[in-house]
Amino acid sequence: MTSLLPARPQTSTVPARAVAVRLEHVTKAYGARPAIDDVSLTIPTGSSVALVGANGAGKSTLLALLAGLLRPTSGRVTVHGCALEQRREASPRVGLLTHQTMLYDRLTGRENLVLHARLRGISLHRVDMALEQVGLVAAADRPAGSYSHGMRKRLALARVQLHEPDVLLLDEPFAGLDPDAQQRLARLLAALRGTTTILFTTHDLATAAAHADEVLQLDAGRVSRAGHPEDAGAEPADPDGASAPAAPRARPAGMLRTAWIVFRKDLTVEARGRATTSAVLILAGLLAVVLGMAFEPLAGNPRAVAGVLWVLVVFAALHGLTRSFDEDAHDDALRGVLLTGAEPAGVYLGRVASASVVLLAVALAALGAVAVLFAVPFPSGALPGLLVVLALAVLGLAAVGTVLTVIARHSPLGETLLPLLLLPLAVPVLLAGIESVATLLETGALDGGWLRILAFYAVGMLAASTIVFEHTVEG
Amino acid sequence: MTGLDVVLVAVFAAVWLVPLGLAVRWERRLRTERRGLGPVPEAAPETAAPRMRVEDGRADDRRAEDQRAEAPRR
Amino acid sequence: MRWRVIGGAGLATLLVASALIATQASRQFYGVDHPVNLLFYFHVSVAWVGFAGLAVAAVASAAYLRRPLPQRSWVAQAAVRVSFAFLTLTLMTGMVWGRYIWNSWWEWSDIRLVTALLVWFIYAGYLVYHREAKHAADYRRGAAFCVLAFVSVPITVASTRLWQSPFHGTTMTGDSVTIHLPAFLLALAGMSAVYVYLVALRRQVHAADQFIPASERPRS
Repeated sequence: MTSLLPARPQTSTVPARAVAVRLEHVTKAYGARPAIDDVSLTIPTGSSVALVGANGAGKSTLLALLAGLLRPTSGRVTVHGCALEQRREASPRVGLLTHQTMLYDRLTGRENLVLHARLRGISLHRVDMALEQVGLVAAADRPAGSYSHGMRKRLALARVQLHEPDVLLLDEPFAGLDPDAQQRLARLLAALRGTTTILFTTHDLATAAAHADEVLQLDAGRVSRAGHPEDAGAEPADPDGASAPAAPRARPAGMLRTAWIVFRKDLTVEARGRATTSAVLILAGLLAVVLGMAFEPLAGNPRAVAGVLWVLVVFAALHGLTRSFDEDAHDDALRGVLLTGAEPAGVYLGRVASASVVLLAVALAALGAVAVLFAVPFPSGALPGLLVVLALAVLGLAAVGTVLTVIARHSPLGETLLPLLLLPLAVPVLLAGIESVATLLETGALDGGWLRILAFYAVGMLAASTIVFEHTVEG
Repeated sequence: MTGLDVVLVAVFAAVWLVPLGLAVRWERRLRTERRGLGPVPEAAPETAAPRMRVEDGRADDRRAEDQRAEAPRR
Repeated sequence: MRWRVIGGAGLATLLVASALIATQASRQFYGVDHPVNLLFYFHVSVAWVGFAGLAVAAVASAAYLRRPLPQRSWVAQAAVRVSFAFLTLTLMTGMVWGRYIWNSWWEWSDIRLVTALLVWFIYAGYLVYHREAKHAADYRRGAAFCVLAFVSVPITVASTRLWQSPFHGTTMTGDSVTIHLPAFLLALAGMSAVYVYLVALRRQVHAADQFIPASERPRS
């Protein structure tokens, strides 16, 4: 057990400070190798602590554990008395800056902050204040993707203290900043000192000495040397959270509101770049031409045409889901969204909704391309039925595909895995889609049996995936 | 005996051999992995430290130099 | 140890069942008299046990997501792995039977065969995923997939049924099929015992694996 502060008699005359952060026998192992090895420590409210140590000593892992981003393999982490096993409980109290800035490139600086403010349920006035604090007011309406490295870092700093966290966790906050930005950051840290508990990592002992009350040395996952506290009377004697700030806290957005915010964010990102839509449209068009040439004798046969249409839609879904997750995976932006304490189920539903909109647009275009290239006569009145079938099928595909994309992305096999996982699961959609479109083209009527399969699939997969999604996004 | 009869015999055999093959393979692997480990504690995947490595049937104490490996874990 | 007793008992039961099948059971199914018909007893028992095991895997995976005790993940992975082998046997025996009786290895109109192949592919993906799984978070994702897969199986079965009406009547109750019930029940019981033993054994392999660095573990 390593305590930051040596045990002191309880008779100290100095008023006791509440414990901001407490680690009890915390171990975090990756596979068999412990990155954090049986660390116990307490940090009083309002202190500023520097974590120093070599690369791989466990500094970043310790911060991620404190942010609730990682679950400890064993032991307990509490922040102001809140157990951090659940990320949501930690989120209003903690701000985490990692090496990734967790920004959406296609959103402007302001939009990135507004997204986080909305998800956290805090006033949008804070956005302007935060932009002011990091000196990004002038650049606020430019896409974050056009920012320099230092500007991105400053925007990320604005993001992590948007909700005025009690505990600020900063991984190498000074690295990559120009002298001006370093001074701004130093001023900011000085202003927060005493009220906000700050933990930051650094390689530079001078930086540590300048900004910290305490210096902790991490070595191979263990706290090997505790710094000497200047404030000798600050023994944390209070029970956790007894004198924690009692200010009413903003509540993170609920499930449906989160879904709406994420849905709008996704569509904004998509509208800016149209990256997914254009790539997937071109893929669908190419496939239509290739299949048209390969199966030319099938032209005019409604069943074959329905088959070609659904091959296009399924491949478009595979490609489109992968592509749209690039935006989220880039720079760990999705993790940033989840760190706000937003309901993972809401994030999932928002993603499914936006993916469905994009896929439906692609499916409609594919329908047009197939109708022209394969010369199928459309019975009058078949269009509403086609729309219903396409919408239900696309919803089902997006529902299961969204979860499977996350699963595949985290595997070393990556995108290779997605068709392996998605195609067998999507067979009901494929069969029902082909059969109902063929029936529609032949008779102009909807087949109730197939429609029920599509509806069951969409509802069943949405329900099951909403429940399991949160387990798939953890790092 | 025609080619199809051979297939028939092979399939009857496979119904027996596949489960038996799995059993033999996993029993053997379990024996190798347990050699030198003693009874395997039911530890969480991430808590279990690789104290022992089995190589050519010989266990060597990988973290013998590391005293901490001996400390009890929760 | 007790698992090995169950496995041995299962094997003995299967031997008794085989003796009964070889000497007592009728070789006449659907008006065709052929020894391949005797595969029925193994084909159906392997299929039933295999599918039941997938339900066990789904329950264990859901339990693992509720509370990530590694034992639950091991049970789910072991059950899928053994069920996958059993499904492979189901497909093989079904195809060989079809080759003799229908004179074709594959019939799209036989929904049982098609469904079994689709389920085989679903869990093939699960196994491929788990080859690269290392951390607790990977196992949680695998468990999530297992739950989704199990939700999709009944819908897949329903959709293949709607797609093709059954080519041959339900296997167990047709007039043209007379099964030797004691032999079938013995085969089913023996196969279940062997299944339980294999899952328990594989689970122990997962437990022992925790002490071997991932890079040095055998691949299967």
